[in-house]
Amino acid sequence: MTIRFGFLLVLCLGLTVRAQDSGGESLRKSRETGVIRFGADMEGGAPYFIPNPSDPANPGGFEADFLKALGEKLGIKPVLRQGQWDQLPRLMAKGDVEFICNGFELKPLYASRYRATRPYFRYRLALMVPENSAAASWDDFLQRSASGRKLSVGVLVNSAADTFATQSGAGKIEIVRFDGATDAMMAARNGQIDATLQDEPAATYYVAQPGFAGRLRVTPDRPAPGWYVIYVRKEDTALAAAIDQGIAELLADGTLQRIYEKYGLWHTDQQALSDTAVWEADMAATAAETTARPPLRDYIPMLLKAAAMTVFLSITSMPLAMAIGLSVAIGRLYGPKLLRPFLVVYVEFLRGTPLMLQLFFIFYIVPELLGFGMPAVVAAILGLAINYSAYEAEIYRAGLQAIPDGQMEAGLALGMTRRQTLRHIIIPQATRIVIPPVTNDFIALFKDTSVCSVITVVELTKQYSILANSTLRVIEFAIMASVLYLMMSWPLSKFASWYERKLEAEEPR
Amino acid sequence: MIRAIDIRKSFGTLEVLKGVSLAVEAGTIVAMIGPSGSGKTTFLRCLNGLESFGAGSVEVDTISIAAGTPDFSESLRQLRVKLGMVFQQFQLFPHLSVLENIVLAPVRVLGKSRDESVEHAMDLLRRMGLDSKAGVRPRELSGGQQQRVAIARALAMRPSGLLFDEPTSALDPRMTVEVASLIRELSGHGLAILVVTHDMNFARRASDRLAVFHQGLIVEEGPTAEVFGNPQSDALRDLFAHADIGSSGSPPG
Repeated sequence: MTIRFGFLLVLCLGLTVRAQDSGGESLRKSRETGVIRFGADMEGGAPYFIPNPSDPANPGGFEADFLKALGEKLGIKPVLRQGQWDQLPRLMAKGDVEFICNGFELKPLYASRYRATRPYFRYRLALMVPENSAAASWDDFLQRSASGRKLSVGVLVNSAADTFATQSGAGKIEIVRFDGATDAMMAARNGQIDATLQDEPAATYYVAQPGFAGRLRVTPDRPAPGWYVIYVRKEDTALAAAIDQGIAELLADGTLQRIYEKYGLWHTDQQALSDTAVWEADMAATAAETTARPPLRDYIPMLLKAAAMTVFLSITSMPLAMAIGLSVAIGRLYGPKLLRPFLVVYVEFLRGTPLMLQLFFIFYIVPELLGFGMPAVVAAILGLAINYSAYEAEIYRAGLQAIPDGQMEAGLALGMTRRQTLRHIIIPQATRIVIPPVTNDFIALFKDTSVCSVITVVELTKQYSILANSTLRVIEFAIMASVLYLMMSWPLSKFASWYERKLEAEEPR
Repeated sequence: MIRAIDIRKSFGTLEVLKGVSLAVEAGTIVAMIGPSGSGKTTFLRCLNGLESFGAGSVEVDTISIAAGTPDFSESLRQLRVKLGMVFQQFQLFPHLSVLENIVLAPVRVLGKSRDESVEHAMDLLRRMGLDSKAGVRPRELSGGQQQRVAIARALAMRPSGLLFDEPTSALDPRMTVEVASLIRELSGHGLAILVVTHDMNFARRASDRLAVFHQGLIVEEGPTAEVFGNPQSDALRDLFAHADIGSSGSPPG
């Protein structure tokens, strides 16, 4: 026992020692290997990173070019590791990458947890609106929302636009948070939201692309300027200093200007990059800003509201899934023979493709095809119902087939039609049989509601993600969210076991 | 009155009914006996359309069904109302109470009011001695009780005829007498009753006429006592030889 404990102790110490080693050691190690890993999100990531199909390891984009030039100054080759944008800081904290460089703005929360380099880009925000919108600027947009129908604006979750929109528009507009910048733009284009607030580079790039050109426009104002910085882990002081040095050199010899001009991003504001006094003052101010940490208790209402959404999605989509599933099962067993192959295809297709893809299709693609969109919650309920209907159809098919033929015969022999017999004799019995597997599916669906977060529905998992990433109190919120899920699904499990026991007790003697 | 005229049926190339004709008059009981596979049960099921038949016709009172009538035909449905069936395994509806089992079809098929149907159902149950079981689920009843509920369910439709598929096979041998007297009572009310059975004792006790099946045909037919006393066909003699005739007498010579 003591030996085992001692072994564990040594193991833990060894791990902590190792962690301290990689502290100021990232630069040294990278110099040895010649390679340094960084995190960025290429999905909808232009013009920061533009995928290069002929050479996937070498994307284009102004940040890609910047990092390549920086790498040359440092004598290390930067290697990109793909991740979802708002998860990248955590990726770095975990040790999967050594720095993040992807339009991360200088902000107190990150500056206190990580180490910021000097800025490499002066960004501004830009408002994108549908072509036929009358909004002339961000302030105008707020004005219209206050005086008329409450407008909605999409933002990349936890981005500078998110922060700015939340502060500037609190109460006046509805903020819809997306996992990707282009997701928000698609929703604006489809009319599902009224506008999207983006960082200027993304806005000006995508508004000229096919798919958005002519359907979205950018208002001329440029609110809320700020700095993009590279973040490294707090202990990596050597790496930060080396990057600072590199950026200074790239500014001095004009490389940075050339790169930004190539992408049309060098505006007069960028000259402030060389003005040490200005950005040093901003960085100092940011560091001094203490972010108050509200007690976890304060977040409970938000989590409960999201949990209510989870419950709402589940209890509306499951009955719908059962109704569709029953119809499909009846169609396969009793319907016209010509219909049956189509129903088989329906079941196989829905079971064989991921729920997430189906949700994307319903929320983003169907509006493109049909010309009108639907609210995210409606899309979520439809997506869940249709996906699960395939599984319920199979369960019901087995349930219906489990009812002895003699029951149908008895109904017919009394002069009932097939439909009457199905309705009064077969289906009620089948329903009782299928309740245990259906309840199990309900428990699964309950947790699959978390997939709806990808189409902006704020259910419990999404709320956890937003809170965890915006406050970086990852573990606390994970525990709170898990406890809520358990509290909600435990009664369902109990019900399923109780019902199964009840059915067993009813077996004919 | 039930009348079947020249019924033929094949399963693929196998001909199981080779032209069977039979009539059951109101108020009489006809028993069909024969070895397994002789076609007697298949024939019974052709009468109410649970099996389709390739040639011939079936008449119940004024309703006539020709060969190849589809399952959803309205005249077939009407025939089924006139011709009740009591299944070998009873096929009561387990998710409904005894009363609901009996009331379901009169309300849904005949369009009777619920009150009227419940009153009639309770009356039938009372006559069977089962009125105290009206609210109970079928699984809580004994085999004999379940059969009586099945009979009541068929009677609730006020049929002119009743089909029984092996009424004694699911019951205690001791119950044979009771079932026989119940069937006699029913025919006394004017029902035309057709029974499939392999139980010779029961056939002798419960029927007025006997039809002997052999390889898809009726090979012998006549009043029960006569047929039992004087078997004409090899098939029948064969049946007697293999059967246990029971307490009512020695095998006929």
